[in-house]
Amino acid sequence: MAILKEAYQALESIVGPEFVSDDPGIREAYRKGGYGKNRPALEGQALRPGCVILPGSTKEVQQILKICTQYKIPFIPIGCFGIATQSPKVPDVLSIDLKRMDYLEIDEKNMYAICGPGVIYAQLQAECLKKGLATEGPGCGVGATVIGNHLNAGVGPLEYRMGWAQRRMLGLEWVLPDGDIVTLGSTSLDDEDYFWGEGLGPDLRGVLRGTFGWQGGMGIVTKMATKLFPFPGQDLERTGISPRTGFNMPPHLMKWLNVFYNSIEEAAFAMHELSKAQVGMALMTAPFSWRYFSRATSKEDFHESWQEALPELKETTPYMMRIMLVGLAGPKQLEYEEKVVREVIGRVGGDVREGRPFDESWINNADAHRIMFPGGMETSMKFHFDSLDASIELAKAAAELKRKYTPPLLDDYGIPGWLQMGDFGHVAFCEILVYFDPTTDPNDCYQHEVGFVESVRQDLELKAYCGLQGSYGPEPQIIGPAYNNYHLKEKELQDIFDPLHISNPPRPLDYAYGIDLDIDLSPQK
Amino acid sequence: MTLIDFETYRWDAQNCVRCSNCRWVDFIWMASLQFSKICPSSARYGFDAYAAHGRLEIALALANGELEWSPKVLEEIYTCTLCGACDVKCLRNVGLEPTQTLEWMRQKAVDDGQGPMPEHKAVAENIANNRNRYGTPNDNRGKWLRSDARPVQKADVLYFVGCNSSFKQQQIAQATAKLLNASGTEFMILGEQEWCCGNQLYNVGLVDQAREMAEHNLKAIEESRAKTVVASCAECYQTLKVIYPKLMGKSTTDLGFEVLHITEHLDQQLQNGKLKFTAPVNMRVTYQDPCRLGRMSEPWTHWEGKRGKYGIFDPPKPRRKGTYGAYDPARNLLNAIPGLQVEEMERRKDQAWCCGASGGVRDAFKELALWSARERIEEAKEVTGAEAIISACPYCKENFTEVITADKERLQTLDITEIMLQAISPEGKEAC
Amino acid sequence: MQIKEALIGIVGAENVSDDPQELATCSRDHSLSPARSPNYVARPQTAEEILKIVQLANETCVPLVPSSSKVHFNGGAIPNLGGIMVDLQRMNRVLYIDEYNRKARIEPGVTWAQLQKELAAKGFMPLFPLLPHAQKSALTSHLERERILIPRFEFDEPLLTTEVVWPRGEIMRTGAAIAGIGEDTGSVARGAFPHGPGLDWWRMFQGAQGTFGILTWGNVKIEYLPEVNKTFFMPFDDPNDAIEMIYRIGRKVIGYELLMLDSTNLASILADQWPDDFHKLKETLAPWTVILILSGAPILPEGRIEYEEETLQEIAKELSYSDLKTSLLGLPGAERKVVDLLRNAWPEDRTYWKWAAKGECQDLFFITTLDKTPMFIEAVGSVVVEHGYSVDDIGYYIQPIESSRACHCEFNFFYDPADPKEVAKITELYTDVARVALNLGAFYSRPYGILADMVYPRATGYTTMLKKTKGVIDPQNIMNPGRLCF
Ligand SMILES: Cc1cc2nc3c(=O)[nH]c(=O)nc-3n(C[C@H](O)[C@H](O)[C@H](O)COP(=O)(O)OP(=O)(O)OC[C@H]3O[C@@H](n4cnc5c(N)ncnc54)[C@H](O)[C@@H]3O)c2cc1C
Ligand code: SF4
Ligand code: SF4
Repeated sequence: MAILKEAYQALESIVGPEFVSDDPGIREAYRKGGYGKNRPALEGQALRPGCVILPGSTKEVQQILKICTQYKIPFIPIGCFGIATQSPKVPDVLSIDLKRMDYLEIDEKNMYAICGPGVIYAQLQAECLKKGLATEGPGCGVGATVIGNHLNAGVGPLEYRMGWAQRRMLGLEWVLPDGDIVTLGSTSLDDEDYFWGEGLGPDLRGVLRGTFGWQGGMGIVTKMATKLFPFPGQDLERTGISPRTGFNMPPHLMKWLNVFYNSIEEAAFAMHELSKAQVGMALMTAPFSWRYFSRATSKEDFHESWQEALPELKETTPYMMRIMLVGLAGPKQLEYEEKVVREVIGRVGGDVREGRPFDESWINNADAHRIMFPGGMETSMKFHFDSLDASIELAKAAAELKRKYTPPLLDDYGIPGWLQMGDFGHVAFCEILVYFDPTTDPNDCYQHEVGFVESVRQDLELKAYCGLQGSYGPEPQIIGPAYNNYHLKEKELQDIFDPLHISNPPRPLDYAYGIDLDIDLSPQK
Repeated sequence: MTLIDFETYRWDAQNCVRCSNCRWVDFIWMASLQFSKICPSSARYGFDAYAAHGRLEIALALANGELEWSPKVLEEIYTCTLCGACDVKCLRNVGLEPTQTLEWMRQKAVDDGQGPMPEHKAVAENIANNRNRYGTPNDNRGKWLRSDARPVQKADVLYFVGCNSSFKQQQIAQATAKLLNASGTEFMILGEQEWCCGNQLYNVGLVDQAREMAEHNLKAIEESRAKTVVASCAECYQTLKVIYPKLMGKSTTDLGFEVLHITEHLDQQLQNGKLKFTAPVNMRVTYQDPCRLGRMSEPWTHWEGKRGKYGIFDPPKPRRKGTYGAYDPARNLLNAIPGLQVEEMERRKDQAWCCGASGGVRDAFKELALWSARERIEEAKEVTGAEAIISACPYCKENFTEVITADKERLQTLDITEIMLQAISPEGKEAC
Repeated sequence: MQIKEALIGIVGAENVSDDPQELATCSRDHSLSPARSPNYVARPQTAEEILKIVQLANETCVPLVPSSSKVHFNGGAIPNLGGIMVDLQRMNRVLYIDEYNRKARIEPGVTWAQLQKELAAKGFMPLFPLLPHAQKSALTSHLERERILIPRFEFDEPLLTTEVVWPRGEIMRTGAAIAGIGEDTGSVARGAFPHGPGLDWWRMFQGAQGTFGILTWGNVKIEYLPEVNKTFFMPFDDPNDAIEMIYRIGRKVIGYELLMLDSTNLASILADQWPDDFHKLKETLAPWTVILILSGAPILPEGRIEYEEETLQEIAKELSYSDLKTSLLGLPGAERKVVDLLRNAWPEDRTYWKWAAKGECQDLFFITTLDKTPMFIEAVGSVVVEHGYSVDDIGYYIQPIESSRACHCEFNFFYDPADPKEVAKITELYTDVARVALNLGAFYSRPYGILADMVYPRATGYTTMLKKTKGVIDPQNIMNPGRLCF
């Protein structure tokens, strides 16, 4: 047996026989999955875990991690397994599936929610909308757990106003790899009080998270509060039958305006001017491929219409800037903001069209997964977090590089990604997306990996902020050394808080990244 | 030989992104934490091996010879009601069809001499011996008939009664017959020539035996010259409409007759004025969409071809996304009953929570079936404050009844035919 | 002497001092923290000079206490264990105003007055806390997480990226600045995104009172300076009613500056002539006033003010509140004056508003939720009375944060520093009040002085982790030792 019998019995006595298993079928279901699935660089050989456990409380999590420490059992925390960095890369791990811990409490007045690690965004959003509040679901979809996503990603379509998840994290309870519990923010002084994230004094959320996070490499967060935002959710009307389900938006309070451009610069300029005017709830520019995904009825339908449209799209390079206006203060605000948008677009140029007052994706779905229609996997050649002007510069260079690897990457045009701002325009995010099929022809996958590493080098050459930190790329090999060896500091913290390196090894500093691929991982080519 | 060719769906299993959408109610329709789940088996057991995405991984491992059959693996694949919710959810955002693989696994289990579960085998044996699930002589099939239900010898409409209403919950068959009469529909029945539809046989992977049922029943229907076959059981309905064509390698449109559920037929009669509800039924109720009447009832289109890069089907394959399930007829009928207050549960139509009875679960995993029913009853009570939960499938009712009785719930459960019967005649009340 | 010479070698003789008088001025500040002199003051002007000082400190195990402002209020820059005070006032350049991305790269010695002036010339304003002292470092205010006056923005964190001299002797930038800062440096990076690389180092430097490293510059958010404004004063007798108003305003996300002051603080701020104006005003003002400034955006500014005003009227109606005022009785022009005051540092030619009453002021502040503030007000009042102090003499300031989801709750205790008895009395009172508030759930997110001793022992998990983290960042504990919990 993979996990020592003695340890297994101890685990069983913690959660009961119903919630622990070393059955091969059950373990098989925890081998692969999520962002980067089938990318050997991220998931390696994707081994079966030795055992799977479903704890039901913080106390159980704590006891489990103590057993792991005692028997030196590597473990992997699992939210909904939305990232391939949960595939066991080392043998005999204990996969800790947290879905039973779906505790949720909302403080309506003070606009925050306390979530257990099993709570997904959709549940949180459903409860929030009833109360005139909202959270921001990530682009991958609101099936992601609130905690898993807050700790490791947290990019969504509403960040213009709600910011990245890093900043929404408030008080929290965290079981360190050795089983010790630490509470952050207001919770550090009062176990029941989750409203505040900073402090005491220096803010240890800094140890918990960065651009991305530890990817399970630093224990388990068992409770976390997240900020909520005012949003007239009670006025949304659910409608439709799958796959065309959506919210009818109350026309007196919400509106889409779509503005069309033929260059990314024009679109970005308009975004910039709108953010200056401080209007809108959400603001994003995306390529037309997204419209084709979202309208496609099937893969075949997508590919047919895409191939048909592509020559013209390459000529005209259309982009759609979408702005969602919301009258948080009431209908008058909506009227005012629409006037501002029209005024701004009147000045900067662009073709404004009113969108259907309907949302199938941004408020409670963010179905980046329809993004799977074109290929087998969508990955990001670049995550770029900085400013709008930096994003545009880098995106253009990235588009050039991407062409070099097309095919096997799916052919598209212009800037193949999405662009949006955070904090009303102070910061911006751009993700260059690529679509390919990692399973039909292994060489396609290999080519993708080569292009991916080259993209990292491109960031460094152009002195752009490479956002592929936290197990998403060749971090200890290329990115860390280029950035003051920050990864070694991170490693020192890891050595202190996880001296046995049992929390999801080898992440986040994955020296095994791409090791079997024979890809040149030298910093410069 | 399995009916489904895994090689066609291997791509799905490999490329499932594990978004877990298939475990949750459509995110737009999700209205609360409490009633947010949609996959009963995953909700009950927790481990991902009990969700569609986990089962896809298991399928891949089985196909690749990386996983051996064991009683536990059989349990993992058979504790699934084949409710189809995962397909609806996956097709919305990702575009895969996990239930094809779920069905294939059971067919493979049978092929490999491992499946189905012993309880399924017992039912299959009953069917083999007596042409019905319960093992009673099939001559008794018409015994539900009362003098006030009047089938005719020859009619355009054939009422396919189904095992459950023929032998167990006969009041559903009786109510159906009266409603057909009341709506001016002349109908015939097959009597002992009606064999078990074979829904469960197909679902547990007993393809050959299911095909035998299909062949017999299709022949009997053909000989009856019926233009329309009406079923009051959602399982029979889906079997006739979807599984038979699938088994016979053809499309629903090639069957040569139309398949309607009683709710569809009566809704038509209501719309054209032939059915009227005159007796008030003063009650607050909620409606359970049976999986096989709702999201799983879209017509089957035969497809043959291959799968290429990006998972593209060549030629293009139509997907059944649950969009065109029969959701509205039952609602139209209930809403037309005077005095009846109909409230929706949070999980409804394509997003309905399975009662737990189907896919062979009630026979082999009773505890799961009742757990699932109990969840639904909680939702009916909490969300709608209903006095009754109405369904349009005898198996839902049977499953609900067992929980309601055991838990001494005040909530009632009725088949939709029973409540409609109350609305056409005051005597209907006593009949129920 | 060796150290002094080494310091002279680094920053030049004119920038090193061990003059007892100068050291004595560094030994105390405007808080009740006990005085303690450094052994030297060094005034570097570049990151490289700071780096050398840090290396020196590591070699000699001499503590370093960074100091950026000319005035200090919380005891954070008092060298608990002596050592070298690293005075950063000479690093006082606004290095770059990035109008496109609404940020400014500033050195630690840049004061609020200076920053305001330089930004205003370009049509921008910094994100001000309440009336900071003109000589206070803007960067350290943000670093120490002083709350900003505008809760409209969903983000209450003006600090973006930084350059830091780390205690182990290296210069490393945080966030996107590690890749570049744009400007004229040829990088694509603009240094806007605060997170990473790897971890959120920048968070560890915040609220650290100089214990984690020395910032040589920081990129901070700035905003357009609104040209059209409309001020509302909302007087209340009962703080509960005022709080409800603030909640509702937050929920509708209207206005720019929004805050609540008691009559003492508001009168202190508005009084031109002391003490007459102050007393007159205090008498006329309601016990509590909520101030809201509606401001136009750069495009169609009037339209925004119009709908926001209507919204405010609606809120007032919902609350049956009929006292929305656009001016203050007896103080003509107060509505303009408030705008002017709140978007500036406290005028340099006037006594700092907190010192006008008695010469000195000790602040007690913490983070809580608005609904709890009336409870704190009451509890603090009781303690104050027990100490024979008048409730009427305390200043109160409630600053809603992020659409009113939380607030900064501040009590100001005015006292005469020349009267040792009063100092002793206020010290006792302050300690008691701090303890009572803590027991009621006050969260001292920036535990200064004695607060650190109160909170860290209670937060054992946090404290242990903090110490271990500090051990990695500053293994020799050279940075401001004895300050927090190490
Ligand atoms: C097609 C696609 C598109 C995507 N687009 C986006 C996007 O737009 N925005 C975005 O933010 N993300 C995106 N992602 C990334 C990713 O899927 C999500 O961020 C992820 O799903 C996070 O939620 P989860 O519940 O799946 O977390 P998991 O994947 O389960 O967990 C994430 C990591 O955190 C660890 N972890 C989980 N729970 C805990 C806990 N309680 N304590 C400690 N560690 C824990 C895990 O070990 C894992 O390493 C995308 C993924 C895919 C496949
Ligand atoms: S919805 Fe589809 S892709 Fe997503 S986890 Fe389920 S089966 Fe996999
Ligand atoms: S068919 Fe139903 S029970 Fe089976 S996996 Fe899919 S959703 Fe779950």
